[in-house]
Amino acid sequence: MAMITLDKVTKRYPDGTEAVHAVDLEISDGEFIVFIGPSGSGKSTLLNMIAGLEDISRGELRIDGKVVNQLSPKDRDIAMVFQSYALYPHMTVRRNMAFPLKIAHMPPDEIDRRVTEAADLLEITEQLDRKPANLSGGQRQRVAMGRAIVRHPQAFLLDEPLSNLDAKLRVQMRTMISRLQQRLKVTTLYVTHDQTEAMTLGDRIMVLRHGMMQQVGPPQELYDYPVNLFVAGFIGSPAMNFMPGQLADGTLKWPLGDVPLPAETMRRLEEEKAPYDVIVGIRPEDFEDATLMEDAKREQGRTIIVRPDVLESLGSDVFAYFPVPKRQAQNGELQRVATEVGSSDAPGSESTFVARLSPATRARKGTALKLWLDTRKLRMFDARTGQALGR
Amino acid sequence: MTWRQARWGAANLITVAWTLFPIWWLVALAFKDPTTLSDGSFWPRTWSWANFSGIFHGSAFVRPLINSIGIGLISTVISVVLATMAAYAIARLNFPGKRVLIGVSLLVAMFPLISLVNPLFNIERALGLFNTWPGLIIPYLAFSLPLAIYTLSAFFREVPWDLEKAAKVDGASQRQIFADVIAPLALPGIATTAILVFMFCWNEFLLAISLTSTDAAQTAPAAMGFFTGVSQFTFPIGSIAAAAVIITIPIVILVTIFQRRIVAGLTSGAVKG
Repeated sequence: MAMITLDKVTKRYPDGTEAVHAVDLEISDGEFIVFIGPSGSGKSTLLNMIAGLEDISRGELRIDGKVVNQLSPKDRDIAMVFQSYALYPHMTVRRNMAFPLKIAHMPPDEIDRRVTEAADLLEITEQLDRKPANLSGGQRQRVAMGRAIVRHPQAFLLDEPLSNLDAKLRVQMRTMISRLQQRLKVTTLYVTHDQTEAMTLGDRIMVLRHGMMQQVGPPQELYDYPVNLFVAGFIGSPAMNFMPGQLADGTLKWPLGDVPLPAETMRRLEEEKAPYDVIVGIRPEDFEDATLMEDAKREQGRTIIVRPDVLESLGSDVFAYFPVPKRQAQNGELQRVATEVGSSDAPGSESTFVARLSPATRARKGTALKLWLDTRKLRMFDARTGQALGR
Repeated sequence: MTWRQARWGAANLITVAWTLFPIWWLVALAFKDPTTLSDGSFWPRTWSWANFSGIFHGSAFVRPLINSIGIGLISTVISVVLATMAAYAIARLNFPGKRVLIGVSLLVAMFPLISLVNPLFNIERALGLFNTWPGLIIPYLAFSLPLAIYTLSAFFREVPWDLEKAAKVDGASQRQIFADVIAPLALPGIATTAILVFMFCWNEFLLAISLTSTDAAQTAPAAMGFFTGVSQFTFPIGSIAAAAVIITIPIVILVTIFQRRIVAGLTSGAVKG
């Protein structure tokens, strides 16, 4: 078990590109931290540097206060699970799991005890004498986990361990990993591009973009108070809806009608000298069918009329997609974020908004719907820089 | 049976017959009695071991056969060991001049052997290598290595990179990674390469006949060229056929043993899939 400290850790390739730029992070003992970002954000490179598979160009990596930059992977006492599982195909499951212990010259009976124990924990005892080729995807994933836990390492590094599983299995394995981590209390670093995995697993999440750390904090904090447009767009599914707007005289002018902002929000915006041009963000669940609201609560927000063109009923929720007027002046940063985040779930783009409504809604496709939105939950971002305003 | 199947069947039959007929002819000749060699029949009237006992009588063929086995095995072992290391480096490392190295090694393989016979002859005579085992092993290495490196690097590229990283994190040293993880997985490739190299050395004729003069180093194919009949005036065709059958046997055995390995996809199950 260990505390891992990253001090301005940078990865710079010989051709000058920087995959990871001066990341500062303190991971405490037993913590479960998730690195998230779109592909090319440097999250895997960062993990490989911590494992010792890639050199650190600048900065320091410390494990329990000891600088390990120059140590080879075997001297860092860290176990890693790969996206491809990387099981040794010519060895049985038992030998696969025993491999790191054998390398460490552990006595055979101790190896046996640990392998059996880990196999029990992961419910793969029956597969111990089979070869990886004869296992299902989920079983291979467990073997890969097993090979990591038999060593009782200082830390686990998991590099997109669930990406190759089908959706149902992924949810199962997610809970298994979570349970395992709570039980073993080993510092765990988990890389993913899936924001659901990040939200559900992490004690803290670190969001990366172009090799730069955007924000680090508990999942709920990232969800409620994103520091910039990118984090806001990346975390949450369906994604946050964005739209350019203008701030003037305590009122937000945007295509969905002028919205008077709550005094509290206004005060914070003024303190920060918020610019005239902003990007407004609102999460799907901050909308509701106005007819289902109590009057008192309805007064706190604002009601608009929209015409949903697609309704998706999930049983527990109804997603209503409705078009919003497109703005002439396209915002550069907003577009960049939209394309980078685009890989994730729903279109939180400028031209379509999505609202998450109660299943009791009477909304019908193509007919006018009175939609309530919670003005206190509106998030403002600087239109030029994408930084959050009045957090 | 459809018309289409019949057509393919006929085509297969013709191809197989076309390939096997010369071999059968050779075997038939080898088993014919020396006096009936030119009786015009493709079937020996009387089966006889005379040709075989003829070539194994005295050292005219036995000694070259030993040379062939020795030179072939030594060349194969050295070539495969060197090629394994070189191919691993080429497949896994990035170093300056890598492309040039691959290019040059392929260029060597493309060089016409005949153009090197004269210079090699003179060099080997000057160095005292003429008509010795090393005199053949060294040029064989030069010609088999490019081929071996090329085939092996293709096999090494097939071994998933992640396995190496996993072994590294598991605490294995570079030597352990190679010996415990990479080499076992590249074994089909190593076996294939070894057979190819051995076949090249075993069948090689031009250098064998040019760089040797006595049975101190003469290999079997070269020795066959110097066969004489029972007397000066008999045609040695029976002995040549018998010798050809003998030297084909090891190749047939090797390929039969290893073909399953060659084909086996040992890496299945390593990564998703």
